[in-house]
Amino acid sequence: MSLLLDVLSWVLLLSGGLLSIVSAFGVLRLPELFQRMHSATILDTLGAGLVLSGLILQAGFTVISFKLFLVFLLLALTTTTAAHALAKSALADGIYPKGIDPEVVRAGLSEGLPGRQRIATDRARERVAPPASPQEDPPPQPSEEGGPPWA
Amino acid sequence: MGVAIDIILLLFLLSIAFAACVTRNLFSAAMLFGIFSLISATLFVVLDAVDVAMTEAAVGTGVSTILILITLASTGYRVSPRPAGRQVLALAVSVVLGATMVYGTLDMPSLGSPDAPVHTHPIAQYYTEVSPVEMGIPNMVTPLLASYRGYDTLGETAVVFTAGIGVLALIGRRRRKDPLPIVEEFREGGANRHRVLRVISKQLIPPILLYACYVQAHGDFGPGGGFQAGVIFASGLMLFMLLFGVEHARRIIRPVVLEKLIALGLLIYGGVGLVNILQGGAFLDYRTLAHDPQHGLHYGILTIELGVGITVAAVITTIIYSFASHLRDHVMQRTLRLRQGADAAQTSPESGA
Repeated sequence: MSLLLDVLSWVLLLSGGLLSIVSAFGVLRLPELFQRMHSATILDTLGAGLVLSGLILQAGFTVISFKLFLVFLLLALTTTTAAHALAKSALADGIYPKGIDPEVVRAGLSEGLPGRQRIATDRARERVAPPASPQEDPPPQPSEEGGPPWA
Repeated sequence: MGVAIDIILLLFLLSIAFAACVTRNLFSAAMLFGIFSLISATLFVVLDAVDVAMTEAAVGTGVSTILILITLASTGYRVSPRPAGRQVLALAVSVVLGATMVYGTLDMPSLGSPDAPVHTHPIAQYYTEVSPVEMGIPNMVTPLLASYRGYDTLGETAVVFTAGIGVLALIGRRRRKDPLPIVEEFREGGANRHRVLRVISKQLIPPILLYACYVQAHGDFGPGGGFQAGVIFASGLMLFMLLFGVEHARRIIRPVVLEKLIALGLLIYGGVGLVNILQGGAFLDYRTLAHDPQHGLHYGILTIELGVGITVAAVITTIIYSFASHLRDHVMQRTLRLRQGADAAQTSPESGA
């Protein structure tokens, strides 16, 4: 039983390490921001998850494995959120994925976004392609909702 | 194996420092400094200095990066090119200073060497052999810091206190006669539109604050204590401020309260010393606090650690508030000026775009 656990945990550890190396190559070699981000998030979630599960199997039913699980939970939550925020900021800054019609992304971005972000999106749009007729867009409206945002 | 990890981490540090010097974009430089601090923190963990690593991770990676970014937001992200003469002078000064420091390290004993003065001096032997018996505290760092070297720590807390007062005097608490009308976009926090970011990060704040309380209370048994707990607590509050804006943060923990807390922490520390004198002992001789001298030591150490934690958390939060409020005023003034310009321009056609 313990041999089986050992083998299983080493398989997990090694595959996690392999995945990390692959995704590091991806970050270095892939041509564009979104692809590189994709590669980096594989390391953050799956690579770290495999390594941590391997370590949990090594530790057995102890406090250490519970702590490792907490580390995994934290990584899974924060790194994916960070990647989401990064991608969103890149889009708002006028960097679009290759092979996707920028108009589609822009339409999706500025739809339903009043206030500051709309201004940023419009600015990014102007930077990429100067608008043919600037009067088409309504002027950015300040947001109406005044309640506390944590509610 | 440990040496290999050390070498890899040090190489990382070198290359990051070089990249931070070379880059012309100050935003990248700020990010690189954050990574530099994170790797230093890892290095401290490798060296078994977990409490230093906690402080470095919270202050170096979290707080100071945010402070630099706040400053850059009002000054701009580009470096203006310098005249070549001054660059040569700066290079010469850095090379001379660096060479002096490297020359200084040549006399240092190698890491972990048993012949190092730290290990051979009789006081070290006293601390390692007598302190666990005398104090009854498993974590040797805490009694050293709080009791044997209590005066030093009082001085350090006073330094933190002075830093907070200094920032307040320079950029904090300007009571305006005519407070600026708050621009609507600015009333909401920066992350209000990033719903995913807001929801996930909001969940992280309570664990961070809880962990800070744990580090505060657990200093006798594991790595931790007032300084670490204070910076972790302050970084949790900073996360709240980043998510919901400085306006909301100031409404929840008011700057007036923070000012009182800055002084309160130092007062608690000094007050314990005064109580010791009143009980008939020396200043900061905690043994007088209870019938059993060991219990007195425990009470004294816990109390002064609490004072340190309060002061550190309040000072760092005050500094962050001051910087953020400064930036907010800056941005609001700019926005108002732009609006007034737009209003003036609306009277003439064809200039709104």
